[in-house]
Amino acid sequence: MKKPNAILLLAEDNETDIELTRLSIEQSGVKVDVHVVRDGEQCLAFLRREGAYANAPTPQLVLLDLHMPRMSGLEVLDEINARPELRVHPVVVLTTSDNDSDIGEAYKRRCSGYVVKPIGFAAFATAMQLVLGYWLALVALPSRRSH
Amino acid sequence: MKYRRAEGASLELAPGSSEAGADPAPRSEARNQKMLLRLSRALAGLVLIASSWVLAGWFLGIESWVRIVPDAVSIKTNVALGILLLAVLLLQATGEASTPQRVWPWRRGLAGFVVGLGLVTASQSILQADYGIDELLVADFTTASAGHPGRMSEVSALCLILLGTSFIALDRGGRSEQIARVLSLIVFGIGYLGVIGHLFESESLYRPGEMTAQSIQSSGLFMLIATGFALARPDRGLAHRLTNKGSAGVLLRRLLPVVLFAAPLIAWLMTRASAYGDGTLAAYVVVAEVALLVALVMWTARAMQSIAVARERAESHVRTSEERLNWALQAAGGGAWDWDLARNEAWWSPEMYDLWLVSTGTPMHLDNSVARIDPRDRDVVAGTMKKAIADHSVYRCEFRILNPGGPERWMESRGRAIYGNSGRAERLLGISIDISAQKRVELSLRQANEILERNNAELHRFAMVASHDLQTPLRTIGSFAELLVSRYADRLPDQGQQWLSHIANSAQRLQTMVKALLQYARIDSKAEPFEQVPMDVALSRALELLETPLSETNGSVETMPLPAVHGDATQLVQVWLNLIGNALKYRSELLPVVEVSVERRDRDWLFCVTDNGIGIDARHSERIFEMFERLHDAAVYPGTGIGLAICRRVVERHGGRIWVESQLGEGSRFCFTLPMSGSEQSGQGWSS
Repeated sequence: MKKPNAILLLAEDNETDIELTRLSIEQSGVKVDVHVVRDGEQCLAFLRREGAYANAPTPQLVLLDLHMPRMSGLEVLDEINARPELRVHPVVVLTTSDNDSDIGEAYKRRCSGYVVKPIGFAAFATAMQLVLGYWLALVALPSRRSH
Repeated sequence: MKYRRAEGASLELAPGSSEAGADPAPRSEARNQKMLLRLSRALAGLVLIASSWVLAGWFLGIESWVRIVPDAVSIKTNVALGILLLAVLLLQATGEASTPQRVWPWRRGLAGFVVGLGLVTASQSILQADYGIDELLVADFTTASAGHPGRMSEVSALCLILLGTSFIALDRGGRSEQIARVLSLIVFGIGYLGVIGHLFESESLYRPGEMTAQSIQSSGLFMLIATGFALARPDRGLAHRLTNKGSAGVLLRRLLPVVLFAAPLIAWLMTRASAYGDGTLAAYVVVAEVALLVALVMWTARAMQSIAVARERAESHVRTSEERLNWALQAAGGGAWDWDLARNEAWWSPEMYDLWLVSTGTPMHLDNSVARIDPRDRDVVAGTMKKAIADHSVYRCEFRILNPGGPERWMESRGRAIYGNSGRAERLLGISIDISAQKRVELSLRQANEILERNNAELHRFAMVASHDLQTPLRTIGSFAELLVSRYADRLPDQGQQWLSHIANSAQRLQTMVKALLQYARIDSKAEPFEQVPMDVALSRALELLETPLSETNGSVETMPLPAVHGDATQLVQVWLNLIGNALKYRSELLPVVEVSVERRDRDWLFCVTDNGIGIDARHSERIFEMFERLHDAAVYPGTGIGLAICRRVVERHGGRIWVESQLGEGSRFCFTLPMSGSEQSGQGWSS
């Protein structure tokens, strides 16, 4: 039987960034199903399987942008921390901001990692390959049934 | 400092006019009062001894102790007893402080007994009765004649009543004390007349009318005790005039005793001398008398002269300082005020009325002064004033006064309270100065500063936001251009490929510039609090970061021990990084040698970075510190042109200056200053 693709949730509001991320994942060669949400609220709804996301699959990895409309990435982290059942998802912050305070605040909320989007497509693709390789191939994650 | 409101104040404040001076005459009132009190005490003691002596004489039956001259009137036991009691009263009264907290409880009883003794004796004489009290203590062995043996004279009885009453009224204050003083004066007069009468054998003086005679001892002792009574309270009444330290006091103290006692004594000596029939003796007495009076007059005149001189000196001193004060106040555009807190009266100098827009001469007090102050500032003024009085500190306050229809009028008042002996503030005096012009300047300066600060903050916010928001689309442009090149390059014509690479290059350049702009904006927004930064450490940190270019260029950096400065460590590292980095980047064909030096100046350190590079045309020495200013082709010397702008921004933030001394082709020397901390300005040596 063929092993199903890993599920990746990308929380990102910028269309071109979504496109770039998709392209870089494609370039990296990692087989993964990418689901996209456009803001923090949608991201939480997806994780909780609420409303339109009632049948959403459980993602193995969440890539979270910080600057999003309605609910920012930091607020999403706050919500996740407040709910024990959501804390099982590894959340890696993926953003353009290399601001010290953003990095500090994200780790204070116990994000699983913080990646500054590198400049240039080639560098971006390499970064994605590393991130996905680490989280989806190297580390062991809780089984899907455990939540 | 003790400060009295009377005209004597000038004397007390003037140097050299007080007792510290060489003049013997002017003395302080307190000293005079003490002297009079001692005299009063001595008189009481003297009378006590004399009256005890008389009583002892009676009990022991020694006639010469109760009458001096045989056949003269003797002093009676009851009078001696009364006088003894009065002397005890006086001794007690002088022992107390000038105004005792509580009157001696026995005083009224004893004084009442003395009055009673006088009254009973007097009533015997008036009612022609005999209660047997006259010889109660001892039988009279001196009066052989008929009448009432042992009975005191009616004059003595009167004296006992008057003096006893005086002691009852002593320390009661007000009218009764005034009456007591008058009564004691009457007793003094009676005694004085009695003594004179006995001396000059004029019976009518010591035996007035039908009354019995008063003995010379009684007269003398009454006179002394009355004198003692008058002096027992030297801070009030007639005695107070004797303590006056001006010429009036001198005159009274020196001439009154002479007139009262020396004059009769001399006259008595004269009569004795002529009684002996010896003209020579009388002449000697006259000469001695004249000599004494001349000496006395001259002595008094000298004392009065020195008082007058001291006063004149003090007055001229006061006049001079007043003139100086007036000139100073006028020059400063200020007015002086003096507020008597107890009486709530304020004295204002004429300038004050002009300043405060009050018609000249209006009597000022707290309420109408406060009414002139702008209601918004009243609480502040009252609070500041209360605090200054409570803390014994200088009162200083800035406030507005009402000027309806006119421009805002600002006043600054400064003053200081003067405290009485009890520690309570008695007066507040000081000056007021019009500071409206200064305030106007201050206000416009503050407004300008606020606008400037706001603009600056907005500018920085703009730079931060712009560079953040610019980064995202730039990244996209760059990334897609790159994608296009990597995936579809073979399908594009050459021209298209060239254009695409233009887009990619421009996006990259723009991205570097945005990053530089962000870095520049962060000098202020990311500023750390200042701390002691050893410049040695900052420099070595920069050199660590420059390791790659140093090894690539084979460059070397020569340095010397550097001091510590007060500043932001990260930013100071940036300065070294940019300056030394530039020195390596703009090198000539020689091996780059960079020299770092420091020089101690008056108030700051002068740091210099000297290189042997290509140098800078002096024309550009200002331009290079501007943002994005570049002198060279980016292809040859890559860079954004932000480094020196950052250096200037950092150095200026630290209170220093940066400049370049260079000639094209002769290397450059970048210098910057950083202020020394206060302790280093005076001290020596480096702190690093």
